[in-house]
Amino acid sequence: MTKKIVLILCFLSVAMAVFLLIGAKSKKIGYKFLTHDKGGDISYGDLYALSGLTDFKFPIPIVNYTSATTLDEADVITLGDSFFQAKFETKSMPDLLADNLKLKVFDPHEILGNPLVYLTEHNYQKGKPKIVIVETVERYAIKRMISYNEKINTTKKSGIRQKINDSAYEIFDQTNVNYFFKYNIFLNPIWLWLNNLEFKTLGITNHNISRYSTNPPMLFYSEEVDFDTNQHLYDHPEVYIQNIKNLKDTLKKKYNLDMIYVIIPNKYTIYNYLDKNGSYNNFLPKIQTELSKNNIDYTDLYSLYSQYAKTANAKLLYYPNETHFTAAAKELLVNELSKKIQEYRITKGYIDK
Amino acid sequence: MNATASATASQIGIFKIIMTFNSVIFLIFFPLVTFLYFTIPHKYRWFLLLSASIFFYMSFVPKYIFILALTILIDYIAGIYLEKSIGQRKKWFLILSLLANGGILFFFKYFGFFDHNLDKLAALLHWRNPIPDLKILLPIGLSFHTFQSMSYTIEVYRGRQKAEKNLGIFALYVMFYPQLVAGPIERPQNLLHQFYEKHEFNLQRMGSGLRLMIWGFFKKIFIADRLAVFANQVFNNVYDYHGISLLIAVIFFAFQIYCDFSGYSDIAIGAAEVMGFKLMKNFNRPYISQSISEFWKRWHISLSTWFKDYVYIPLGGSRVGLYHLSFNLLITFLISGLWHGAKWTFVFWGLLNGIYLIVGNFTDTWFKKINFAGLKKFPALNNVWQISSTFTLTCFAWIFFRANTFNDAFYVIKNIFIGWKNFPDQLTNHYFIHENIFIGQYPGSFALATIAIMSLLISEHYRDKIASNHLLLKPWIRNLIYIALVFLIFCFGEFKDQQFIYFQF
Repeated sequence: MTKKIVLILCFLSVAMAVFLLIGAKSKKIGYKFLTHDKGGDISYGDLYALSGLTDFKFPIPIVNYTSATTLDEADVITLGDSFFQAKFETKSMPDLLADNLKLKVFDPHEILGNPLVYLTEHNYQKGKPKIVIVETVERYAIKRMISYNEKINTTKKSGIRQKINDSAYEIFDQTNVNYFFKYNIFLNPIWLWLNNLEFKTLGITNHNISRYSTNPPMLFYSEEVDFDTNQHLYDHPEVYIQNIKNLKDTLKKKYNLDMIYVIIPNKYTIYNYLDKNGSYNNFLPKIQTELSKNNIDYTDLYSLYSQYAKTANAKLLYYPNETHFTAAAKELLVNELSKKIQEYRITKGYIDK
Repeated sequence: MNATASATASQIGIFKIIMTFNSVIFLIFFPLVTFLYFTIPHKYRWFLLLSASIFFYMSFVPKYIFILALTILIDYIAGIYLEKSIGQRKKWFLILSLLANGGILFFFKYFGFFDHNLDKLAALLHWRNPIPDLKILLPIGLSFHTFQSMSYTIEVYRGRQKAEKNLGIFALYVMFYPQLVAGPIERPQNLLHQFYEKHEFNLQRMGSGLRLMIWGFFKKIFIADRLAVFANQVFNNVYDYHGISLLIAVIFFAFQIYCDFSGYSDIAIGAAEVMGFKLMKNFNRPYISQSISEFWKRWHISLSTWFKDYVYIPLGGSRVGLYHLSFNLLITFLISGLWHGAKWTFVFWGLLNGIYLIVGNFTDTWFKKINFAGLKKFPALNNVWQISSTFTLTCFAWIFFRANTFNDAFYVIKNIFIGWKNFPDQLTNHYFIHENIFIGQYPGSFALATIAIMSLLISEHYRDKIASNHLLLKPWIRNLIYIALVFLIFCFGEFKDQQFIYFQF
């Protein structure tokens, strides 16, 4: 009897291994067996997806709209990360900006690190002056500031070398394997049950969520809470400001683009008071002081959001189950940026006063 | 300060997630490889294992397979020529092989360390260091498979092992995937012949292997990775902590490194056992040691025996006077420290262990004569005293092993005794408990961490009694326990892609 059970278990584990391998490597087949958000009009949030905690499963409507403005015809260019791609409840930030300013705003719909890489790869030519909004979220600010100074490699690998690299990546990369393991229809319910059991019995979340609040419900992404592990970097932001300054100068000299720098605060930066042992290391005020000293134009979202969050009847600026900001936060940013852009267009001579 | 720290990993193509025993891909890899192993004819099995091992290795940095291939080729050829040659020629082949292996190890593991220290020396002497900073990524398991390969050539040289003529089998000996990246460091006499033996599918052996793997996963995912959260928080921010926090971090790290490393070894040994291979035991309850000398007979046995056979004994071992013996110990442990990492803190850790043994040798006779605090009348108490004092000395040395710098280590040592006067009063302060005892983590996590340590201590202390207990020998009870362990691993385990500590060696 035991022998039969063990043999059945062995067979099941081999069958599961084959299923996971095929599902992970063949997107066509794997897609049919996924439980996770497959697009559509509703999202349950990336933090819910990472944690699986049903107490934080709230639907967020998605607006499916993409503007058709091209890079050449744009008056304003936005180069940012997923915050500028997010379409929760309203259009994306660049499209809202376009509507508010009644100007053409181009966004590449890609998550960018170093903006110069995008402009080089797309062979952007210096022309009439334009405004470029370079955006990064706070938790990746240091990493991106470092990347602004890296050499841009424009030489493409030869066909065969590229094919070998792509094949190696296809074979050895395991991101899809991990994803399919967690979100396939057979194992996902077990994963959800185990996660919720751990949360309900011991109040422990998984490693992606290092802090949370239950009243009001709010999940905080680990990378936002623990992003100051290399304290030295964050104690000396002036070292990295030079990279932003160089970026600003290069954008102007090489492409005739006037830069406005936007750092979007982490959710934890604004709402750390919901965590009873929460605190903030004042990274943004430190960075902003240095930006001002170096005459780099930026939007002070830290002050704007912090003050707004504490007003009576303030709407949430970030979703409880998402790392990204809400329509209310986007509206504040759009208004702030619009003011700045109009100012720029007058002071820099884009339009007559 | 270099503000242009570039992402070396992305430049040379490392993947975000690599295959380790605690990765999802291993849950696919292991059953498939094992299934195929028992399905295909025996004569092709070595080829399957070699292909699987190559895939396992390439999942880290694919192009590094060429480095491994080079070391395999060098030692394969060296082995053949060593067997054929005599006298001085034979010696030269050995030296060439050892130099080649040592050279590769030096370049990938110690070049940066060497260059960094040269920079400091150059700054002192006001001249420019011409050697550029190469930012070399250490190939996975380099220290382990290099030592395993070196033991092969040394044993062939000594005439204790016949040279392996089959290149494929030799390659498999060097890179057999269960023990490729973190040991146990096998000897050719133990492992090579096993690749020629036909292993039949055996349910009992499979069960034994799987149980050992489950125990290894439990130690790694449930115990080590949970303790790592606390230890890392403190050791990466030492200046924010003192007193109880530092003590907790040191003790947690002692168990973290033990469970991490012995967990890996158990998984490796278990995985090999499932397929019918016997690997050497690597840990034997080191924290019940009653002396540092005993500790080193129980901790990382494959490495300590390697150093004993190939460094300590050739230097003269213990067949020399006490002072010469002390010198041999010091050299052996300095090299051992350096093997663990290209940092002075590792070297110092090795030195400290060497000093412990030297002092132990010098005071051994004296200790045997005196009856410390009359404890010899009470053997149980005496054992507790000896075990706890050995554990304390080990933990003291671990401070240097784990600390990021010497300053951090000295800070820990200096401040571990600070803040205890008000400790009883502070126990009523919720903030103090959260920040200094729970180290900023949730109470449930701390509770799990302490339960984890207790369960380890109990199971290891009563291991023999458990193994011979009639009730627990009943298959259904044993299987239930292991199912419970699997449940605990998946429910309460820490899945943060925490790498095995010894990976970096």
